[in-house]
Amino acid sequence: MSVGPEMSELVEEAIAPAGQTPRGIEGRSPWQLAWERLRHDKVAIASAVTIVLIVLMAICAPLVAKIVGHGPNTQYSFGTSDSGLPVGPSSKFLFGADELGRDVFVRVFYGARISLLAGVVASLLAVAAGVIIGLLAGYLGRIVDTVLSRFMDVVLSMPYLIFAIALVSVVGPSLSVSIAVIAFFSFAAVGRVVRGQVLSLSQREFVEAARSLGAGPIRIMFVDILPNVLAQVIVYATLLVPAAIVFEATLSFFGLGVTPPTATWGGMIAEAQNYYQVAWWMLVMPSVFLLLLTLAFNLLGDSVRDAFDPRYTRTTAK
Amino acid sequence: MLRFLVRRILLGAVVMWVVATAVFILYFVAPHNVALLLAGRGATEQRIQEVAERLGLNQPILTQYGHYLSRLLHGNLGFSYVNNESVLTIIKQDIPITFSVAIGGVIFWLLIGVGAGILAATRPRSIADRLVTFFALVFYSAPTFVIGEMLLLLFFYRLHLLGFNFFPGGGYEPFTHSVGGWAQHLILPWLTLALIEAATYARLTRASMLDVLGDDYIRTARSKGLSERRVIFRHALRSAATPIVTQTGVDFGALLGGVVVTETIFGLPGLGQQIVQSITRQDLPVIIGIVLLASAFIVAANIIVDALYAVLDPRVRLS
Amino acid sequence: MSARGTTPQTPPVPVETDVLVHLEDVVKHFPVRSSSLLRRNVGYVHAVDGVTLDVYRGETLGLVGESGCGKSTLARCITRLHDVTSGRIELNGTDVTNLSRRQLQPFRREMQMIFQDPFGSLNPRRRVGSIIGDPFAIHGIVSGAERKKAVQDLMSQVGLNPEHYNRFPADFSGGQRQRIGVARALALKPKLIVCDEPVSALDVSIQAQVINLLLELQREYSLTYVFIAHDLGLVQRISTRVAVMYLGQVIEVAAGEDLGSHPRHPYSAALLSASPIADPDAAAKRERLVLRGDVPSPISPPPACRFHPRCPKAEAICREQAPPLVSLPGDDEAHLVACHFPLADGERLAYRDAEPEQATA
Repeated sequence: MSVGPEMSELVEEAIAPAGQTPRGIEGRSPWQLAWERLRHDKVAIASAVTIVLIVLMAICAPLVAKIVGHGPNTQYSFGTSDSGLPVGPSSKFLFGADELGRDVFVRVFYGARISLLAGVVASLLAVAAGVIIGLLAGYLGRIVDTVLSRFMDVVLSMPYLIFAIALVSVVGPSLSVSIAVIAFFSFAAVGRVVRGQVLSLSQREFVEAARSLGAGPIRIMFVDILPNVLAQVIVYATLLVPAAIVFEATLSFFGLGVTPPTATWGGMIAEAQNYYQVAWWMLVMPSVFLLLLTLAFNLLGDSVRDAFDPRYTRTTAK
Repeated sequence: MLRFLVRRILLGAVVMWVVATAVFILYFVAPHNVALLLAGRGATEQRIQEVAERLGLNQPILTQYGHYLSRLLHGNLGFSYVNNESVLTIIKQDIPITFSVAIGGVIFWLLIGVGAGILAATRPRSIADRLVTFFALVFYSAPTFVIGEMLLLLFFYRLHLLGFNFFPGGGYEPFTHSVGGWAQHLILPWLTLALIEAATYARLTRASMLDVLGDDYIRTARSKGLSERRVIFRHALRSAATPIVTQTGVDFGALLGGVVVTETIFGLPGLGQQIVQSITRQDLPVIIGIVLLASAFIVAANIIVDALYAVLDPRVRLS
Repeated sequence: MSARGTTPQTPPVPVETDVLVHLEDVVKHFPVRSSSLLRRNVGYVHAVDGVTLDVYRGETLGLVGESGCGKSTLARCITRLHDVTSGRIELNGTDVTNLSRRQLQPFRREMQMIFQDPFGSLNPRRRVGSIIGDPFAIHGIVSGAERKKAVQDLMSQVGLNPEHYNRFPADFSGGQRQRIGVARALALKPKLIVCDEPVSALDVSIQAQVINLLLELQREYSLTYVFIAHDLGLVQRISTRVAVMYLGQVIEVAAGEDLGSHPRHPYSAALLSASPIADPDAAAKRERLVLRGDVPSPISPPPACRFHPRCPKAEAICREQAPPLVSLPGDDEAHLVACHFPLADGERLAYRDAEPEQATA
């Protein structure tokens, strides 16, 4: 506001005698302000569009399969040449075929489902768990805090890929195991950050005021404190999604993710390891889409963070 | 300072203990047929019994736990089920390779990352800045294995086709055989490891330096007539260093993950490849050994980083 | 709406001898922990050290003292924001000292608090209507449209525009935010409102407005106030009685004018001599007493009478025996003082080795 609140109070009372609606500046919530900034951010829009397109890819995968006429896991004899080598991009196979004669184009579409599903669901779980644990640890303090913090410290000290490998080797790979493992190794970072913020927020006077009104700890945590950490949490969440997607792809790469023959981008790239010299499309196609998806989420996350906190200026033009 | 370190080390020991216990619970207690798991799929009934006997799996859990802990403290990590070698021996063989990969990777990523970050920060809005930011973002987003495979595709395969045989397609040559060969085989792995992390560091350094370069005391230093290089390296970088150190602390887990992927792609027989192979072969003692070692490494690294923190920032020491 | 720039009026409220809040030897110590691994207690901050006080229904009890004397802590003990280390707190005859949070709920409706910091005491991420409606929500009274109406009524009463229901605290000035705090405290029509330095953070011109608002509301709703401040002049003018605190203890209690004209405790006299007077001539004529030394640390307060290290009249007995809080013969019964050598009327207070008083030009 160009006119400070003090002045505007006087100005308002001058132009609008009590009883009438003053022509004041309508207060905008921090959310509205952030949204405004985001809307005008070209990079954010481009990223969002990319994500939406890939989401559409995932949703329409069966439709595409029908249109093209190839299933994602069906092996076509005409997919491999007579010498057994996969066929390249052609009218029959838009993205070429893989070593078993499957349609890479269709498989890429189906792979999008797994990546998006695992990435988003795991992130949501991690964020939810992290926020709750961070709130409890930061607000309730003392024993609860000590126990939860040590727990988070231990989780953060575990080498996540190696542990994930170890875990999955015992339990057996599947989509839900992947999601659970990713969420487990991601929540602690969120929890730590939330805890820090909650710790300092708990000392603020408005929390004291709420207590003096008789509010219980649960109400204070979720009605008073949570809105103040939400902005940070959202930024974190958008940055967590691409990490989760990469994690899932890595697990699939090692054969620890969704069981084959389900198409996953990581799995496809793993299969391409032995064939990329003769079939570059097996490697490049899923890689490009994986890269696009994570890049889009990362750019979007950056833009979201900028939208909430314009002090964090970047000097590169958008 | 000493008290600080002692606290940290004690904490680290506690963390290790918790990790070891977690591993124990996962493998020996969780409801699955432990003996079957340890004997390996496809073992005969007799073999399963043998394994159960040998490992004392029929004893009460707490006794097993006690044995497990005491074995660990004596450095006995068990024996591989594939070739009966001591896990410790296997690990010892693999460490030099993993170490080579990791060290090179770390050095490269610090050099590239911090260097690029400084470059971008000192020339804001220039082409250099935009290029750095762009590539940083791209490499930051890509998974390690994608970068590794792409590097193989481009630098190994395509260059080979063009007759340029410099980069080998994998494999390891020991340092002791030939330094040149050692480095040659490791360049692509190093780059793979380094590029992704370098991206993070470049962004971080850039942001941090931009913050610091805008501070008044930098202006003072410049107005005193100090050369730009001194301003950057002696004054700005020191303040900008703290977030970088924090990031390093967080990154050890990522480093280990990257090492596993890199060794697998490039066929380097280090700990990373070992653990992946052990998964396929269900060689549990080796898996457990490497998991514990990796955790120990992270704990130790965190202690060092914390100590470094305390050196850089006196406030930490006194807290 | 409140008039601008007028001086606050002393409330013409009859003081009943009906006790609303009774504090009996209330003690609050905060443990000081060492920074070692074991976090032992290495000492205690004696924030409140044995306060016995009554608050009468309908009065305004002023509570003054320097920073660190424990008045804010005492306020929080009264409203049970802190648990007391020992002692008893009675509200309306009921012992509320050790009630659990749940048991305390109904009593929370009787006593409320207004905080000092207009910026910190309101949640910046919540809308003002929601903040004022909090008491209703917490105690499960009125909801929905009814609640909105009640909140808007409150807003008008404190001088805010009810249309601003959906705004955020950042859109309001300091004075307006304190009004929001007042509205919030008033919501459940409590009997007691503890005001913790409600105007200290405001512009002087705004202070009068808010004080007048508080006085208006007191008349309308028969409120009882405990008014905490460090500005003795202000407290004197608006309080029925004033209690002076020093290092965690109450050292004098008296009616407002009584304290002003007949301070008995040396510390009260010193405080009075330090409070600013608008009239420069009167200020020049007044004798200033500047106390020597600093306030001792509340972790290890001086034994017996806590003021003795700085007191111009201290004798041996002051170091050995803590003076009781009693009324002096010849004084009003309600005027209590804790001093072995209280000041007589017109007695000049000076350090024995001080230079003779210089006349100020």
